[in-house]
Amino acid sequence: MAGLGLTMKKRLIFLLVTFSVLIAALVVRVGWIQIVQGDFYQKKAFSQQTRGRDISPKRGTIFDRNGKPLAVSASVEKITINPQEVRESKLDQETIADNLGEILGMNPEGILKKIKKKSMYEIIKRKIDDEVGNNIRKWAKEHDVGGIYIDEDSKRYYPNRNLAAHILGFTGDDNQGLDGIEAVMDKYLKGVPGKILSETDARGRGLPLNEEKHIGVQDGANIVLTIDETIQYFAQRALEKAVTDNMVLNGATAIVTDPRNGDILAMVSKPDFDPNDPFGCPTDTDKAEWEGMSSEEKKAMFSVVWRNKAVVDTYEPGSTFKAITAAAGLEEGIVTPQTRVNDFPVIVQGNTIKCWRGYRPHGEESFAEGVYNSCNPVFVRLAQVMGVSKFYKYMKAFGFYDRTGIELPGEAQSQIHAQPKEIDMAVAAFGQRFQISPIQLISSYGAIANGGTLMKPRVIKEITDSDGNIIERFEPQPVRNVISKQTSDTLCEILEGVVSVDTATGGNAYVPGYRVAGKTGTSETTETKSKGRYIASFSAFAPADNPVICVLVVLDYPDPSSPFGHGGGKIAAPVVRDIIENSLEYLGVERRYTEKDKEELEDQVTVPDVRGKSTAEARQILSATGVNLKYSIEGEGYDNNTIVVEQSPKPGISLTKKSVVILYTYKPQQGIKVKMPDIKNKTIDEAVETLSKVGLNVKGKGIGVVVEQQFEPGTELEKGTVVEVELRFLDTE
Amino acid sequence: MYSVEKTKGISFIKSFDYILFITVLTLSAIGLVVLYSATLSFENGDSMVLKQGLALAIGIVMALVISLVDYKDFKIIGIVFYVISVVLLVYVKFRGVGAETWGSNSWMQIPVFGSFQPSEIAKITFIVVISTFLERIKEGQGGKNIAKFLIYSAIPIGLVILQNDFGMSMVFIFVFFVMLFICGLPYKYMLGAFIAAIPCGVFTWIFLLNDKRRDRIRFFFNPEDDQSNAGFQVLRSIRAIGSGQIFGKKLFQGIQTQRGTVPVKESDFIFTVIGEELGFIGSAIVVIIIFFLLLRCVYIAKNSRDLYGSFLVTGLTAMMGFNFVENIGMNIGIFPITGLPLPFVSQGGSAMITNYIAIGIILSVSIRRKRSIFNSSQ
Repeated sequence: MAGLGLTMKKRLIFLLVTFSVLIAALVVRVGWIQIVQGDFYQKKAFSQQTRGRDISPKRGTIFDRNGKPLAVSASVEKITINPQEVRESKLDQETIADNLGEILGMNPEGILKKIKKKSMYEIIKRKIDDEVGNNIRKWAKEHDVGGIYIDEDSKRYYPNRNLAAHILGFTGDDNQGLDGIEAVMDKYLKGVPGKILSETDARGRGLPLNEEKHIGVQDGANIVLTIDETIQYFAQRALEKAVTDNMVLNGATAIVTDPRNGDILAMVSKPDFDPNDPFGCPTDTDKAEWEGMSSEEKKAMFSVVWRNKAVVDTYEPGSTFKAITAAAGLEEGIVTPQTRVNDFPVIVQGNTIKCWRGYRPHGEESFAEGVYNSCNPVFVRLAQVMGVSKFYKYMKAFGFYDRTGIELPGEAQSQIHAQPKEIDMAVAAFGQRFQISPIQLISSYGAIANGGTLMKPRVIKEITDSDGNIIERFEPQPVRNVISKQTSDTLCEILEGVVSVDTATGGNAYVPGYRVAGKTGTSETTETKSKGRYIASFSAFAPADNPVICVLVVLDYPDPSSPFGHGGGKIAAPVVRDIIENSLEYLGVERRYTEKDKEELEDQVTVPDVRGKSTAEARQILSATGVNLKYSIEGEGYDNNTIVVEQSPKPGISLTKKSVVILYTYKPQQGIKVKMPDIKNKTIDEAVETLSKVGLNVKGKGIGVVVEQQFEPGTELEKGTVVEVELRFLDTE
Repeated sequence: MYSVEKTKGISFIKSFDYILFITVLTLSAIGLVVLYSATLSFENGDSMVLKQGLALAIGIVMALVISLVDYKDFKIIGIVFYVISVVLLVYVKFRGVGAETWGSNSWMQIPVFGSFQPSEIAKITFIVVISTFLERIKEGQGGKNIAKFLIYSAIPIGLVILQNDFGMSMVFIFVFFVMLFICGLPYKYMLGAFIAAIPCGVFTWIFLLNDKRRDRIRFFFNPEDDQSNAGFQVLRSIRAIGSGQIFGKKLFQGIQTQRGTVPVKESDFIFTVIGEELGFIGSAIVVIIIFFLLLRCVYIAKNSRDLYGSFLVTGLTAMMGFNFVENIGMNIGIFPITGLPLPFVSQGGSAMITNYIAIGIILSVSIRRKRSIFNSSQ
């Protein structure tokens, strides 16, 4: 037996050292991975473990201020596949693609391509109905095809279609917000997507008997807007009518705010689109015409219809801006409503500026009358007294240099002379040669209406979670005090005169019982000379002594051939009137009639029910109403005791004096027909007289002359029919 | 035939190597717990752990029985097992199964027992037999014994290489060279062998490795290239180990382990489970236990009563050591993937039993080793 030699012992030690070095290397490497790089791998591991199929979170709802849903997410389904798993099915790939294509209404070739892919996750189709999803489930089960997953998906749905489309915006294929509030508040609305985890082996195949885990999905928060769905609807309806009636070519916008806090109650922009299908045919476009468009034309169309003109467009405000010049003049104490001024032409740096009624100037008048009559020279002279620096100081104070910061995308930057000369100021005094956005103008009117504080326009009221708890509240934000309460009050009174004084320019905005204050505007554009493009606008608030709403309507480029012309007082003021009347009524603001209103109201009478009475009794009842309600009796051989079988109009309808009630002593199969006369451009009295002659009645809306009658001249109407007519002042600016 | 000189007057209880035995048992116990965690997500996880426990029990009994046997008897009986294992190797060359699961047909099915890899047992018999010749060479009986040594080595090594089992082939070749080295082969020959290995490597690459194996080595150098097989496995195991950080995700709570993103986590990549769930502290403890085991074995080899015992222990230590280092190394991406399991930890009955047989032989040598004067006077 031989002992171990020295060499052998040495070499055993060498072997031990070798193992020691290797083991040490292992420990160092493990330590490197786990301690030094641990964080990195921890993150990597996390992203790996959450790599599963996505579940879309439910996108938050957008509500109006009263909790009515404007944008909601409906639960639908989506089909995804794990191509590796699908390929292992018994059914061949072509058949799978064909069958899927058939059920989903898709091209099988595209599906086949996805099945052949090397990835572990392919989306086949999103936003399919539950029914289709169930069909896929059934089919996959029948044919034992694996690797097809039908998961929850969510689809955006706008129940009111194009209502408030520009405020809401729309979402894309992945439910990401692309425009409007959907885009601005996307991070709140979208929520946190979750994953469906299922265990997979090294090749990403689902292992049998695995439970699926749904993790991490967090629904989006809800957004409550300051928009009032009803007022939005009033504004949209009124604006749509105005666009059609006046053949407005370049679109239009209407904004309704609460001047007390800057809340946007409504914001309409035309033309518009249906956010349910933002890439489809726009609301006001003809389907057939749309089909015929090239993709470039369609793209151009989108950029028009998606445009929120109230915020992203600028325009020259025209005479509506005179309210700002007036505010500055009153605040500076340069004028009072009673200050005597005149509107004779004024020459500034060699340019002569005349009143719009230059052919017959208003001459000497009070400053208030200057505003009523919208005389340019009055404002030019006022600005001249004020001086350039003070004038532009007020422009700055009213916020015309800054974006308002409204939470809507793409707010325009105004364009105002950087170094204004006197002539720049002179034309700016009546609102020309500078560009501001409609939202800026209505904000400045808010400051005039609320006692002098410029408010930041607010469109988002609060953010709530899915249980309705408030996460974040957006408080009204005053920007700065611009004018004193006294100036505000004085100016409100003057602007009320613009609407209520008979000869003033804003008469078409008059609403009996509601004190409307406002200012007309007819802006020239660079295309005025070449194409006759004017921008007609009217900015107003009501009630003048305690304003609760402020409305701006801007109609861009009424067709020069339109019979109503392009004047803001003619075509924009009636829109404002409709919006104010409907909104104040809806808001429950009580009407306070002036003496003049009452007089007009007394002319109205409600038709009593005389059916079943004898003609004598009927006669008595009709006379007893105390007004000059006329009547005529139709029938043969009647006497005082003959019973009135039918009457036209029906009882309960309110009619102006001099209206005619037709009494029938027989049951008319059909009423007696008369022909509708032409009453265009007649005053209400003339219209009533003309119509009563043929036995028709009138219900008027507005004041001035008849611009629209419910039935075309020559239409056959039943005797006694009430004809609705719209009246407007046509001789105003 | 040969006669052996027995070591006499040994008290088994007194001389038993408790240090080595307890070290191995500790490692096995940790292994069993980790295996339980690794197979939690398997449908048949419980039965896997049960089988492993059974193999462990069999292994312990066999180790104890073998330790009772004087290792010098292996000089004679070893040759019998050697012949049997060579026959089995030849058998699986033609009738083997398991290529689909393990990459080579080096397995055979035994009723009741299950699948079994003859090369596992051949490793032991190979070491037992060539130690005999090395001892004789060392004692000056060169010539004929050198030839025998080479022939007896070449047969199992050749058969294993022919099986296309890359990992196992590496074990045999590594053990062969370590034993030559300990025997005192001059360094210049070692260097020569190393240089000669280069063309052999190229030859092996071209003619002997199948695609799967070639990929494993190729992607070892560039794991990002391959997302589905070898490279993919390494990236995932490194990520899982790394995410364990210092303290680990706690037993049974390793997300990647439990969610099945760790490949073959119950055997080849069980160290990944240790890394993810027990963290750096757990991994370091396991590696230190392994180091202590190897240290103890080398100590036994150094203090063996005779050359034969020393060669035996050296060979078996080299075998286990290679497995340990290579397996952990491939888990952390510093060695190519070879499919070698982690001894005493990875799932696999035949490997467990083989390793315990090796421990039994080492125990036998240890019990009969030379004691220091101080100890022997007790």
